[in-house]
Amino acid sequence: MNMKNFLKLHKNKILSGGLLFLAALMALTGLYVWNLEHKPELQIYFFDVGQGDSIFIEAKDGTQILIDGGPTNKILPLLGGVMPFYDHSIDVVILTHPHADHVSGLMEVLKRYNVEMIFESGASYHTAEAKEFESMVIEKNIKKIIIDRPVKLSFFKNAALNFLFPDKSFEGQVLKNVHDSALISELDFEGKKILFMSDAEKNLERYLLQKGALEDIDVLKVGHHGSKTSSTADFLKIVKPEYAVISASDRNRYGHPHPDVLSRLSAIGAQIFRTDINGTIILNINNGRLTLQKEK
Amino acid sequence: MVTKYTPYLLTAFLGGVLLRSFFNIPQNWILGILGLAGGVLFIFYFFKLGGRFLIFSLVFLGFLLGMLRFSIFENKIAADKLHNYYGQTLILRGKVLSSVLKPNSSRITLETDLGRILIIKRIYPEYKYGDVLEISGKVAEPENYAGFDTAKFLAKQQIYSQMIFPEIKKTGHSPNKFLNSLFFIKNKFEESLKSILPEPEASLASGMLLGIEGVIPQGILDNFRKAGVIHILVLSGYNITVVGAFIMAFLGFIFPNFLAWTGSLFGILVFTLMTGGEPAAIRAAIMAVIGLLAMRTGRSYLAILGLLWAAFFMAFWNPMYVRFDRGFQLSFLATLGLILFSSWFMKKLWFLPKFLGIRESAASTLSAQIFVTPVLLSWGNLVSYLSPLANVVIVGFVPTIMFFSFAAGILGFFSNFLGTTLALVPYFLIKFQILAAQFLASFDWAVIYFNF
Repeated sequence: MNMKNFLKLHKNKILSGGLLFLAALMALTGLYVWNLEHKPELQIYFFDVGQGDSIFIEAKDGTQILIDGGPTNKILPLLGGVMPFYDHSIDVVILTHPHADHVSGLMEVLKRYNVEMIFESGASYHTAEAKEFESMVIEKNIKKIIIDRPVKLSFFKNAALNFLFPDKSFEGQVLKNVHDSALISELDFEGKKILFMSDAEKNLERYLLQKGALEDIDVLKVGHHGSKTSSTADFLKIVKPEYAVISASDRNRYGHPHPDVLSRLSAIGAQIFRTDINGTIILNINNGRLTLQKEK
Repeated sequence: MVTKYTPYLLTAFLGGVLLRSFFNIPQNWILGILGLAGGVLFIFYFFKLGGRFLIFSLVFLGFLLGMLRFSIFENKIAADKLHNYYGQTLILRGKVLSSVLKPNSSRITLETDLGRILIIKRIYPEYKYGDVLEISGKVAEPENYAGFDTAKFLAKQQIYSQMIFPEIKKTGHSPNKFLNSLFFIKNKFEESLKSILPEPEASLASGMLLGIEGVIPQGILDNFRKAGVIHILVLSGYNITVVGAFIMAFLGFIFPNFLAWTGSLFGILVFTLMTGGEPAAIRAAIMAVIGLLAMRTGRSYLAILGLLWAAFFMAFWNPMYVRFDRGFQLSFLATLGLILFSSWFMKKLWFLPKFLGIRESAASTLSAQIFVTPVLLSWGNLVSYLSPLANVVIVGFVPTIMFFSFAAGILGFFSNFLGTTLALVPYFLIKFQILAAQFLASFDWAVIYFNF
């Protein structure tokens, strides 16, 4: 059978196939626009990456910020699930500190996505992961911003990510406890405040309290996966979160989160969400209203 | 007369290899019985006794030779010196042969002067083929876990020792030029695919094209297993045959047979090269070509003979494949199913249109599945009543996905935008596969669990 006969014989089938394809394309476009219209103004994902942290912030205008990457490449399917198919770039990546449970996943992110800039403390840390990350940042020629004073990162409408710490330079320094150089930030949007404590421990909490940098907030990303060396009663009394999010894995060997921390959080009336129990936790802020969704 | 019975002899050899892989029979016994059988055969020959007894003893001889081949291969451990150092701390220098990513670790095969060793290490820093490493740590015997014969599985690659989380120092890089350029092509292609498709779709696409990877979330893998379609993520002749059959059916619909043949052979060749020319891919391609021959010529006797010869040579080269190489098993069984049942399915599927080779594709998917199902069962200890449905719905899209991901990956070399646009096709199809597997796996009543 030659091509001409083929076309003549199956004209109707080809035509209807083409029409079906066009209809599918239109339906997809429609769905896409509808989705875009109904998207909350700001969404914050606390990814279930296992024993580690990874938080993704996306504004309705498409601004994307990723705080830490978790311990493995588990971050990739999670990001792939929330970012649009064609989107291969992330505006800002924040490495709060170079421990493997925060930095390893970021390396996978740098391999796959075009990252515009990276925020970090610059503290030096001698593990294979930390060194590999630094060399990847240089190799890919990504703009690196060292946080050494309180900085305000403004984006979409009046949203702002305020870095509360470090307030001094740790660049090149070797610290006994690298948690002491963790990047701590607060997201403010339409009167709602979310505090990301990274792996900050009680000495850092006390320091921020004494400095008067902390205020009453709505959501707390609990420090250091709910370890008992963080989230002291004094600290919680000031920040008074309505919701507390703990990022840790099921049956981890550190015993995170510690029962004392859970009872301290309950004592101030915070509703607790845990990635090990609830899976990925999504925070939506729309028209000044804050809602929480959980995966399970 | 002997030629007429070649299939039996080859089957007997393969049977001997398989049986010996389950039971440890001392080599002296095998040699003894072999001598006895040889003597009996000689007597038959001397007294010109023919008939059934002669054939029977010939077949038995083939069976014993199979066992012997396995024994000899297993005794290769004698050439390996590392196993003399079990429990001792050593400093070794060697070259990286391969590196496999696991969810929380990576596994490196290192070729040292004393023998091959498997290293289990943290994911970072990453090492690639050809890197020269200096490692220090305790040499240990591979341990079996969860009922899986890890030691034999590793012995397949002539690895008899492992080192867990050793100290590693990279001291150089000296790869084989030819192999390195093949790896280079494969890596470039994978990179391109991963930069145009998001996860987990990228890993599933590369799983279908190149074999399984470490990034696919456990939940998705479990669903694929429960739905009975996990085999599409193993590099085997299965996928290659399906793609070959697809190209041939499609081209054969428009062009003369000769062109369809050339097209599909060319497709298989390019595909094999792109997978880095790995032995597994070459083996799979050989089986795939045999399967295609069978489908087109309809001369199933010749095809079976070809398949048996191919399996014989592969098993002779490395008898461990028969039981410990999933790709080999899938290739062999899928091709066998194709040879025996594709024409039958073509008749039974009369209601499907011949348009664009749809009927032929469906027939090849189903017939390849027949012998594959029991093997899947032995991997996962579960099987689903819905598995045939899942295979038609999910596996049916594999050729399209493979074709478009391959094309998109190649296009991605030149333009990220064009690659991404073309990747829309596999993206939505894979999304559909994930959802379909999730849906079909959700019927718990349909899944039967086995305890072996």
